[in-house]
Amino acid sequence: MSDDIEKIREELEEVRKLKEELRREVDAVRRDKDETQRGRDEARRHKEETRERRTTTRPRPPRPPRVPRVPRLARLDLDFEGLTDSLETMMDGLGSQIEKSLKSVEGLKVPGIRIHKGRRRTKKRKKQQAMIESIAPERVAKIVAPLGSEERLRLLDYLKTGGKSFKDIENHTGKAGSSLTHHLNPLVEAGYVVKGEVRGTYYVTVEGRLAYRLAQWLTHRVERQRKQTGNNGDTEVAVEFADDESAMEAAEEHLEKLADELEERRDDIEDHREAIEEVKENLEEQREELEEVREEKEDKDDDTEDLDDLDWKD
Amino acid sequence: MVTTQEIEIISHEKAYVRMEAGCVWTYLIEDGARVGIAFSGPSRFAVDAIAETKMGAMGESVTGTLVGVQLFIGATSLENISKGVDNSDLQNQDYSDGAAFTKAVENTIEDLTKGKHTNTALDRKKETWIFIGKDSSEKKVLLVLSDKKGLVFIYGKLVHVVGDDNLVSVSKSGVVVSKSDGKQLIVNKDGIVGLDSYVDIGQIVTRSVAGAMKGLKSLKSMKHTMSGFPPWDNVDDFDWKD
Repeated sequence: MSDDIEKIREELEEVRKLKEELRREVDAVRRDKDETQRGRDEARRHKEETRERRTTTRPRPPRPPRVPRVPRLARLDLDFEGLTDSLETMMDGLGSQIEKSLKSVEGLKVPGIRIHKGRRRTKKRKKQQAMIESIAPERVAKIVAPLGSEERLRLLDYLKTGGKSFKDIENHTGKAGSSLTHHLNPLVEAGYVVKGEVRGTYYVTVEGRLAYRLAQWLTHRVERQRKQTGNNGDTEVAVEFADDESAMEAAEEHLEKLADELEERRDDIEDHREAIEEVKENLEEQREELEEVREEKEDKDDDTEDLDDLDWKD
Repeated sequence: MVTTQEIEIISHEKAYVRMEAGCVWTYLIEDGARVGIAFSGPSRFAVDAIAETKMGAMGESVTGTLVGVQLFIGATSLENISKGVDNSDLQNQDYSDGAAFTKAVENTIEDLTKGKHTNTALDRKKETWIFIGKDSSEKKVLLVLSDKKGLVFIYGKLVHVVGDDNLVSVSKSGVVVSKSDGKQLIVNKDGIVGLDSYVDIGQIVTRSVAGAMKGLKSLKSMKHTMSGFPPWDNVDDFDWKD
């Protein structure tokens, strides 16, 4: 089983390498384009110089040998973004597919395989992260402690629907008098609940709603984490192997299917590369044709220039 | 007169002013008509400067004990729970006699409207109440209420304008404008906080400016005419003999 997982990991690694290679090729094509552009600029400059020389000095010096024209590139904008994006998507998709497939196999619990796209940690985000992580425990306690009771959480939940009188809260919670104020007062002191003195109405504040909502979110995340790990807060991964042979066979079949899919994807990548090669060749041919046409035109222009330079008084 | 029992001269969803028994009071008269009362004695106020928004309640509740002469503009039925005042009632409130109390009321009104070039007028609408007073910490209290749930409350340097689900408050920390959706705009000495809630403000500004600029379109056609205008630099350059 672990061998198969290893194999899948290796194949994923290979796909990643292929993607890198393709990226490098794209960069190489771009570099070539820049170089040819530079060459063309030089040639143009040289031509202008010679033309200038011809007009300012007499008698006209012999025409300098034509500089071999550097093939001029047409504007070549090869956009590989879509291709690389689709590769990324494919890889993401692979990861989730593998995960889903393995999870769907009964009796088999394997930690999910994730292909992480590292999030760019900007300076600002890092700074903010550091600031949050430096919050002292006593500050955390000040914010969190008022929420550390089921009764208080029920109060916040009840007040979410609007301001309520003391009587309404008594009726809802089943608590009366001092046992209710025992829970209300910490919430009021923390600023999570405000009491309107005019009619004795209690309202949950913006901070109170936020605190309660975050407590609910925290609960959701912790419970989800526990489900994933299978242990109460233990980071150790629990892997259970089914004794059932048919389950193992089903797992093997799944893995084979996944390996086949990987192979197909690799073929797709190969096809893409070939298509790119073809396009490049076509472009090269067109470039050459364009160059020929341009040279012909230049020759014509040169002849025309010669005519203009004639001293018609002669 | 002096009250014989407790009464709330203002009884509003978000505020009350409560007079207890023993408060000495007199009518305020304008052009022969009773417009309110001035009173002094054991009394309290409470204001819920709180707006309930979708994100939760905002604002605060303020209570206090009133000290000195208080003014109330509005209709009352105090005479029903009052009796004629005698000197002992006045002395209980630190006034030697009726004249002293009257003088104190006049001084309070003068303080309110003080200033050589000041002309103060209280323009009262139907179903509104105005209360002007001072609490035990010498902070001025101004309360303007309408029947329609809104109120304006000034307490010392604190200002609250409270609607049903929106609130504007001015305090040491700045000006806070809270909407019904819970979004806040805070203007303080460090700048404006909360503008990120209004992500499309750029578009709003663009539209407004474009709308304003529409009328200037006709100037474009004049550009060509104006470019050669005047066709001479100096009128003296004209050769008048031509």
